[in-house]
Amino acid sequence: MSVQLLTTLKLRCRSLFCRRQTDEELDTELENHLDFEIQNNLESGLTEDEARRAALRSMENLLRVRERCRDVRGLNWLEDFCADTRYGLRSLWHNPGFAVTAVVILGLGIGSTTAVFSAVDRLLFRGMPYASPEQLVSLGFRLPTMHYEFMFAPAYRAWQRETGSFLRLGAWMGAAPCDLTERNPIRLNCALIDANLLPTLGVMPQLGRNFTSDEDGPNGARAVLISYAFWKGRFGGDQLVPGRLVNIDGAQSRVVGVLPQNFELPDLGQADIVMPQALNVADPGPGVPLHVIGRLSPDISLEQAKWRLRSLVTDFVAHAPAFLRSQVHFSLEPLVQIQTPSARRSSIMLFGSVWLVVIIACANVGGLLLARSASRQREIAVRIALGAGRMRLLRQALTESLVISALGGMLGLALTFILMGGFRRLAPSGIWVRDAASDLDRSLPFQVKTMQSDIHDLADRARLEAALLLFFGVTALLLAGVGTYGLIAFFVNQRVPEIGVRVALGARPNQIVALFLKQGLSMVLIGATAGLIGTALALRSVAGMLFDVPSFDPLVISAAVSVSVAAGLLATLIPARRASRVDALVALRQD
Amino acid sequence: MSKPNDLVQGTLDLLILKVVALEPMHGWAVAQRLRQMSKDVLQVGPGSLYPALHKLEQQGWIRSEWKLSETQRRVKFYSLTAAGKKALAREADRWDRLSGAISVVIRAPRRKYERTTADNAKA
Repeated sequence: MSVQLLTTLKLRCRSLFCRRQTDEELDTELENHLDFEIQNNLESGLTEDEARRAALRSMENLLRVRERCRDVRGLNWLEDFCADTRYGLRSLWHNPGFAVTAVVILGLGIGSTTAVFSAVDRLLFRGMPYASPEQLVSLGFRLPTMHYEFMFAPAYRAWQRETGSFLRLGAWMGAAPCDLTERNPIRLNCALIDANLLPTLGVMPQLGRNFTSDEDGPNGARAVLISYAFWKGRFGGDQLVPGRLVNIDGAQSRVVGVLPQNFELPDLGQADIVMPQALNVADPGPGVPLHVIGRLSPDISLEQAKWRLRSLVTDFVAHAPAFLRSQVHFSLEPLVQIQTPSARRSSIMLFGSVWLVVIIACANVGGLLLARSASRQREIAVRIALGAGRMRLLRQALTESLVISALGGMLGLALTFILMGGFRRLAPSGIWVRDAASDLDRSLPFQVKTMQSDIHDLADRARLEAALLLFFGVTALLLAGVGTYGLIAFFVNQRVPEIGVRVALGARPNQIVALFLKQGLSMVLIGATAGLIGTALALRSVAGMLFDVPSFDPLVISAAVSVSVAAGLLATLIPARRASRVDALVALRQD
Repeated sequence: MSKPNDLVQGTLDLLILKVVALEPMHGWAVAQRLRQMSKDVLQVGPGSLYPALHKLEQQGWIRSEWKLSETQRRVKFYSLTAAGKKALAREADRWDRLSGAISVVIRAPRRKYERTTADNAKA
């Protein structure tokens, strides 16, 4: 089967690239056929003239034979496609206003959508890369200003001994910059975890092993786990990496294992290197705050676990520093919920905005295409009169749209790269994949810049979300503006002869502007009314995401409507002013 | 006289494979041989023959080669490939079953057929 496929492919390529040769061969083949037929007729006793005529008759329509052979080779289809593409490009070239508008609209739509989709993909469409994630909980103490639980080391150790509620507890301390201090020194992201975290999450190193409890101790041998990406990039995916020495922040450490490709920290963060926390058990102070993840015992509910832990909670609060005691409260929540309420909800909101932008882009391009096809009725009528089939015309129209889409797609792709870069700069580390430079060429000494800002800082995330929403708002406004502009400009072009007549009959420039402004204004006002109705409907669902801000703010809404209407008017005014400058003589000579 | 258009779909392919299997030959010879073998019943014109030959070549069932004919002219010869040999056996089998089934149907005694449908209607 595969041999057959190869043969076909080879022959198709030959038909395509050595077209003249294959065509000539076909001609020779058919000529041969004719000659054999004549020869045969002569042998059966016909005169030369009769023999030739009979043979020609038997050849049927030679042109048709040739066409059918080419059809078999899949050539006609391809040739039609090429011709349509050429035709499409040519007609776009002659209509640059339409072409640029449509391509820009599509590019903006595709670019912004792809960028945001890539960003929210993980949160909305993939589960956590842990075993039975529904059993995982995040537990600890919370201060009103924090939205992540923390626990101090002595309490963590005490709670580890409280068996029954949890199958296991694991701790980690978040990711921070660290340096690989050897040849090609680079800055990395290092996370500190304890030996229990990976077993708690149900994560097995892809290669090598987890830390031993000795290595996790204060005087243990220095051991590290490396991320899959770092393993591939720095060590070329070498199977013998476990056991190698690396120099991190000036200290020799032994690589003991490689993390799975999809591994992420419980806050969705990425780390190149994972090191043991190596807490000093003898340390009497509270030490550094830890994040603690637990795996609930199968027969224990959240409430039961909270109940069993109550004496430990009281004990902790009693020993806490005075300034904390009154504010701190205990929290035990499923890990899924810690990740989702903020991240997931805002992802859904962003995703919804993405769809709106796509719909606006599609509606705009659709409107432009519709206006264009209306103006091409004459051309289409001529083509039908000349014998173009309906299918053929449809195919040509589709090919033209394909050309526009392809160009828009290319622009969109370029935009995606720019936007992804921008998003990363805005994003608190841990929400999005890290520096793109490291994805491009890992052999180069790259520098990974991590945001110093706290991952869990609510303000950071809100700021990012606000920035993204603002971005969408601006994109949508831009799209609407460009679409309106394109449409009105198109109408103006269509009506140049009419404008010429009006000017010749004494219409003043202002009247011409007013003519188109009226058309644009009615469109904009209808749009604004529809928009207000949509706003009223959307307000209810948005209300849940706003804090300390009334969802219905007349000032904000009237400002938004004014900006939109102003943009629509501006988009109308530019082509309308151009219409007013039409020279009657030039316009009337056009047809 | 039966034109290829009237043939069951794919039968021309089968016939060509069979003829080419005898020895490598050029297009005109394929048509001629087919005609001889069928005692002038099957006459294939170039309009059906060459598209079919090219299609079979695309499918990898036959291969072509430019050779000099007895009259010293460059002629395109077609021959069967290994895949074509298998396809021929398969298609011939299929044809046997199909033609057998068709014969059974159209040769069925009229009365017997009517009785069966009447029985079916009663039941």
